[in-house]
Amino acid sequence: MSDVIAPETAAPAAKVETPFRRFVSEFFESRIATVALCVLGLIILLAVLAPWITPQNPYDLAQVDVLDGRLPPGSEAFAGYTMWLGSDGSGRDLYSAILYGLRISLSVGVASGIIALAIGMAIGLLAAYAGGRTENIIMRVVDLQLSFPAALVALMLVAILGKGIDKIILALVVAQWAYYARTVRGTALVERNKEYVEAAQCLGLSRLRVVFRHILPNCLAPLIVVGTVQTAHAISLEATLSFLGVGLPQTEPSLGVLIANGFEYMLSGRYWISVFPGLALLFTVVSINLVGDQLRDVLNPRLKK
Amino acid sequence: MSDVLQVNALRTHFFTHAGVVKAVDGVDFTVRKGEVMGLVGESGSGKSITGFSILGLIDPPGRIVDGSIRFNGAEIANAPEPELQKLRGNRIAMIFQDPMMTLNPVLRIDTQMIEAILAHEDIPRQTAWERSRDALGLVGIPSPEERLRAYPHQLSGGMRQRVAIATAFLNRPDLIIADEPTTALDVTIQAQIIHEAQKLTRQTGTAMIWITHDLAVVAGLADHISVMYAGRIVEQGATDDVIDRPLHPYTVGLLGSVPSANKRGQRLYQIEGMTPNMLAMPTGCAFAPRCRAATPGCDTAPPITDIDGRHLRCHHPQTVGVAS
Amino acid sequence: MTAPLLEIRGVSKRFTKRLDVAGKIAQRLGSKIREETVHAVDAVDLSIAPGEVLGLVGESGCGKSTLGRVVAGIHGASDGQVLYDGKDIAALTGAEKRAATLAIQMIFQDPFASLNPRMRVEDIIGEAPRVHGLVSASDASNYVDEVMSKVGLDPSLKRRYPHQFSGGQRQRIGIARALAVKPKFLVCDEAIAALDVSIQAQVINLFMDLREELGLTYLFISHDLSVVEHIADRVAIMYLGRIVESAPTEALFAAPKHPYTKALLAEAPRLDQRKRDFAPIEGEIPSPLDPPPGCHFNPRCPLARADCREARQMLETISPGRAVACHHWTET
Repeated sequence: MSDVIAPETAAPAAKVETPFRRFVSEFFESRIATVALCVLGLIILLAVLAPWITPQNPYDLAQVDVLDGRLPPGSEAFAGYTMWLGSDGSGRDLYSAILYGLRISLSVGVASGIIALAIGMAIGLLAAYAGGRTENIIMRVVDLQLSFPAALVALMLVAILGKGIDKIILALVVAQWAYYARTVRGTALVERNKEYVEAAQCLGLSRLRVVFRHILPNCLAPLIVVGTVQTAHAISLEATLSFLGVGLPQTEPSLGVLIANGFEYMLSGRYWISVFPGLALLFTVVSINLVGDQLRDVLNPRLKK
Repeated sequence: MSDVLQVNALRTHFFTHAGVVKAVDGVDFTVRKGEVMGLVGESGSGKSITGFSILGLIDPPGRIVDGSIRFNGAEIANAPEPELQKLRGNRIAMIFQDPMMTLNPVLRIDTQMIEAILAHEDIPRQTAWERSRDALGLVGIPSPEERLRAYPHQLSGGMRQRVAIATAFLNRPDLIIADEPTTALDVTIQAQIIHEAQKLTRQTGTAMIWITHDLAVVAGLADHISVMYAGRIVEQGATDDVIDRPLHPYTVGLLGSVPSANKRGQRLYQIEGMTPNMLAMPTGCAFAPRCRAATPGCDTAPPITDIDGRHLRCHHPQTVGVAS
Repeated sequence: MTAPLLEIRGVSKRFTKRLDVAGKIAQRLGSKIREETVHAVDAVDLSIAPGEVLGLVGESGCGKSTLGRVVAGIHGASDGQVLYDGKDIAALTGAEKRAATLAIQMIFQDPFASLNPRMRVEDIIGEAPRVHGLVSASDASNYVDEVMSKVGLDPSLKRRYPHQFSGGQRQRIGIARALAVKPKFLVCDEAIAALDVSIQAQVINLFMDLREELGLTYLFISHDLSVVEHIADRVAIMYLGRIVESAPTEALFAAPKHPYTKALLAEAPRLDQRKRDFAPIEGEIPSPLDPPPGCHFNPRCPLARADCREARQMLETISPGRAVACHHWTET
């Protein structure tokens, strides 16, 4: 028998280099992406810890005092704490309201992103795998969906369904599943024709196994990229809807609601009511997008050296 | 015959975040007018990087760190870009494995060829067009007038490679560097391309460096052969000498492992192991870990020695034939 | 003569590019768009005896890889049958079908695309035997070690991913994956073409060792005549979807009969030919979308006459084990 081949070299590759480990080290090569990821991590942390690190629960009407309304940043509230970012028209501490708003915005964005991803992935895989007429019909529906601006689709749906977190998530899912479906189908078609899939066929593996164990894991990279970008998009879409007054109700103020609330005071010089929630939204969306860009660069094999 | 190209102690290194890759690490050779030199090596041997270094086409993180490249007597290693640009496509041309490296997919063949001429010479467009047409005829393209109006995608792979060769010869360069120009082509088409290249070098006196992994291709084409391994030329000499009486154990192994050198149906003579990791090169002779003749002395780098007009980097030249 | 292990009877494979709705509308409106059919494989007959190595030689686009994929069950045949052990594979069901599927395995050309980049080597090799119950879950690990050693891979590397291996090692992984389901028949599709010269010899040796040790039968597809000459018992030459000549290896290389075979043999670069004048055969390989009428080789053939353009000469047996498809093979 031919001789057993020794490990490539003793030195650098001694430990198992998983694709994940390689991905992580490549991701942190970009300074901007590293900063963006830290900012995003901080934002998420603040949102999650909101109840413990804010002086006020803005949903609890008992804690909100109308007399505190429209105080500039740094003022002292009636209850004795300092409102570092000022307060809004109904006397909510803006710092607390922003963190609670972030909670809502992020969870709406992430929830709709995950649901749309799951639905889009299933439909896209089905299209790629079934081919023929099924694929044609699915992809025409996708084209139709993508030819409408997502904001318009979501706006119409919310107008029909009414307000509420569940309804807005549903609207965002309907507006966005098609992006995932198209991405998955495109990648799956490429992967399906690769030799490793042919090899799996030769080995008599079942179709389901080939699709889920072999093709799907290789489609995940572009999905993750689309997922981050679409989540950022969902967050700003939700803010848009809420700003227009058709999204979330006043009682559950997301960032969009907060911006809308402060809008009327802009001309009277009380900038902080809109600007601080706006900045929070900006930082969130930009940091997600920067992370998404770097993910795309790292995960796209064509850009690899 | 005069020397067109003299390469001395050329070192091209790549400074990656994982470490320094010494892609070319001390290469010397000379190419004379009208001569074809076969530069043979496996993937990662540095043969293509050698070609790119001569053309000044090394991009960061790589650079030529040492050595000289004298073209018609003038030093061109690390020469300023404008100077190199004057040479490229004019005095030195390159043919790639993928002809689309030289052909622009959105421009017609005539536009590209005429521009290649006018970039270096001030002549009427009509004259340039005629010269392009004649060049296509020379590489065996039927009805060249018609082909000149075509776009690259309308031609087959073999046709495109012919156009690339015709373009390379347009300005009657002194040197052509051909990097695996026939590797992607079929046997019958490969024979046609080699035939055209051979004919043109004879007619024009252009010197050529033919880079390949296939010894059999250069056996029928080259005057001299340089065998590269891990960034160094390990054996260099006249084609007949190198192929019929190889001295370096690596060349011996390469030639011995070709099926036609073995008895039909028997196990082939094989070189053990694999090409070394460029980041963790063995000290001394890079081939020693795979070499059957290796001794403890091989952990020092072998100097270049001359044996029967051949240059060799080996402590143990194989003066007797292969024993398998 | 023993009964063939694998028999290909009149197999054709056509690929049709159908028009979508937009295409159909454009066609109605007078556009020249039409459905395009490629006859990748055109009524091929071949049989391979147990333990034999059949070399299938041809240039790119001749349909040799497609034929290999039909044999390996990746593509279904448009016409004709592939018989394994005397039974039409397409007509089998259940356990018999699975046995026939596993008995025929394929080794691919590209050592990178042919391995799933997201799986560890142990899973790449061990998945199919586990799924098919060839080994129990507890024995799987030892079994993978055993197969890896058999192809010359160090079993301690089995937790690694494909990108951590060199081209030659990856090809060994592909071979191990195929061997893990205990096949009888291997289709090797340009299995060494992408490897470095010094690695090619190692893999060829591995194929020969495995043949001896496991009694494997091969369909060895290659464009490289010298490799085929070395390991094949019999050779079939393919041109634009058809077999133009088949013969025992030594006879074929000693005295090729078909003009195309002659051209191939003459033009392959050889080490023992120095500074020769390459005098190649003219012309290009025609597009399989639009092959020339009659004998496909006629536009490039030095012997071509009017009858070659009109009718195709079928493969005709000219001596035992030797067949050629040419009107004028006697004239040289």
